[in-house]
Amino acid sequence: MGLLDHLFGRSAVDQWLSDHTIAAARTLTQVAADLIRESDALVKEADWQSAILSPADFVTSTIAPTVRETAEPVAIAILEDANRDLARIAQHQAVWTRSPGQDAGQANDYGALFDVATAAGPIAASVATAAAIPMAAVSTVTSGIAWLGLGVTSTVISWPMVVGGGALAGLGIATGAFNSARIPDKIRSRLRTRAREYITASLLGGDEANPSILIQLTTQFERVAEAARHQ
Amino acid sequence: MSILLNDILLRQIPQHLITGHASGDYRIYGGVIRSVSEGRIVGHLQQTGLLETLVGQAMPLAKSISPTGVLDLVGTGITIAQNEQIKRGIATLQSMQSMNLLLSGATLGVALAGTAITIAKLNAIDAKLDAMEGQLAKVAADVEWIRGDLVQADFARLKAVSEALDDSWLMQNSAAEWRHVGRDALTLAGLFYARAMRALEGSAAERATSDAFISAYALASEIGVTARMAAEEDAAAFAASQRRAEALLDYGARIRVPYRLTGQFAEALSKAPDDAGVLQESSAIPKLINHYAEETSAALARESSAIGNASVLQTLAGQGISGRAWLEAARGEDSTAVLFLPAG
Repeated sequence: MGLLDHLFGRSAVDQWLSDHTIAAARTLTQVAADLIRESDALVKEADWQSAILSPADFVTSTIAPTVRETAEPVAIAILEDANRDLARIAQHQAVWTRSPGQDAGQANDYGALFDVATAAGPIAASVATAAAIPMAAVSTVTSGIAWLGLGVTSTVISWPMVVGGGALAGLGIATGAFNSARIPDKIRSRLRTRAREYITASLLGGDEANPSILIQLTTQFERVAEAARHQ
Repeated sequence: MSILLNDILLRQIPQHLITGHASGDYRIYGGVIRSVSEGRIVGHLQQTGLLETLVGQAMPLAKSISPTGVLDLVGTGITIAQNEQIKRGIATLQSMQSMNLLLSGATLGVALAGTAITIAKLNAIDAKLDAMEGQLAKVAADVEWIRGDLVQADFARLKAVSEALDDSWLMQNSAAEWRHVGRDALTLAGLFYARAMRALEGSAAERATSDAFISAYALASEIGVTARMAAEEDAAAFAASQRRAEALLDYGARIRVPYRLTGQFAEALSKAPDDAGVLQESSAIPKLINHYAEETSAALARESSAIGNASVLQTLAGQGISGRAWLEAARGEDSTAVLFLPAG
């Protein structure tokens, strides 16, 4: 490959990276906004007494499945779109894989966290837990499988494990509020806030150590671009 | 124009390329027209002296030089041009969507430098610094490497170097002057590039200065390449153009790191945890995305212009055309705003 061809190719990959980073950010922002509207409606419809007594169940059984059901196909579409464009310019591909058995694991983790949190005190524990979300499980696997005749890196991107943290935060604050003052509107408002935090933390927030789905996707885009630049 | 160039250059882009561009078969990248399916370069666009003249005439009519100023100026030029052929020549630029490049301060083909477009680009950089509303001065008070007086002196030198390049065309024996200008321009380019890269590593206020510095680098290094061509040092010009393209790609790679965007989301969300509006249009998150999009788009325009510049030099060398002859042809062209060089 001539030097100019290399420069043209490198530029194409760079453009791919920024185009798909922007597309992922815009799309997931829109999805998050839509899900927040949907979750607000779900909170409104919720039986507030059951929301107080088992707010964790409300987030885990109502909000979390809705978020995943809505956002996972979108995330897959984002990756497929990126892969389709990349296939035209480079020999790397990111691969989405839903971690098998992750949901069961989350339930167990949640149970353990719940025990610790209730022992430590609901409100204080809520703050700490909320600050720690999302707790994401990310594993990277180099498959070594040839794709288009060249080495390819496949990365498993896992759904952010924010259910335990988000639900616990909701439970802690809600329970604490219930114990100190019986004001349903405030509780409902806080439940709505927790649902929103859960949604934004899962899809957009987080950091490199605790990545949201957006950070996981775009980090993978960057890895692929970096590898392609040095081909 | 030499007989050889006259035989090769076209004053109109072939219709099949315009049609092919509209259908997606061809793509314009930094003034280079490429076949999408084959990746083959089919030709190069080169802005001409007429474009410079029109920008010069239109500039006093423009209210301000914004980042879109060059486009506004050329748009005004279309209005004031009386000659129908000239209007068609400029309109061709628009029909090929090449204006997007000029809009970003990029160059089609190689820079002629030293005239209206260069001044417009310098003004655009000044406007960027002004838009920072004293941020540069604030940063300069704390950070020695970005001292305001040194920066201003270097911008003044850049303008002087640009004018010296233009003046050299009027000299009897200009080769020595062009070499001098080339060396000065590339030295300045190095200073601006170091500042741009260093700014990226600094505080938020320092990072905000990087765009002005990388724009100054792009302009200074472009003048340096043009000076090498004018001095008939084509191999040196090609080497400098390649280094320029690689440097701009390196800078662009730093700009594009996704975490520069996504890493700011958590903070933006934490400021309004209960406000669904943080995700709505014109609010914090969409603004961050738009800013990232603008930065990466400007980086792409600079990179594509630089790669296109190097690509023209390679094509010229392949066809036995000297850089000096190419510059003379482009500068002397007064009937069309853009020339077309088939890749051969």
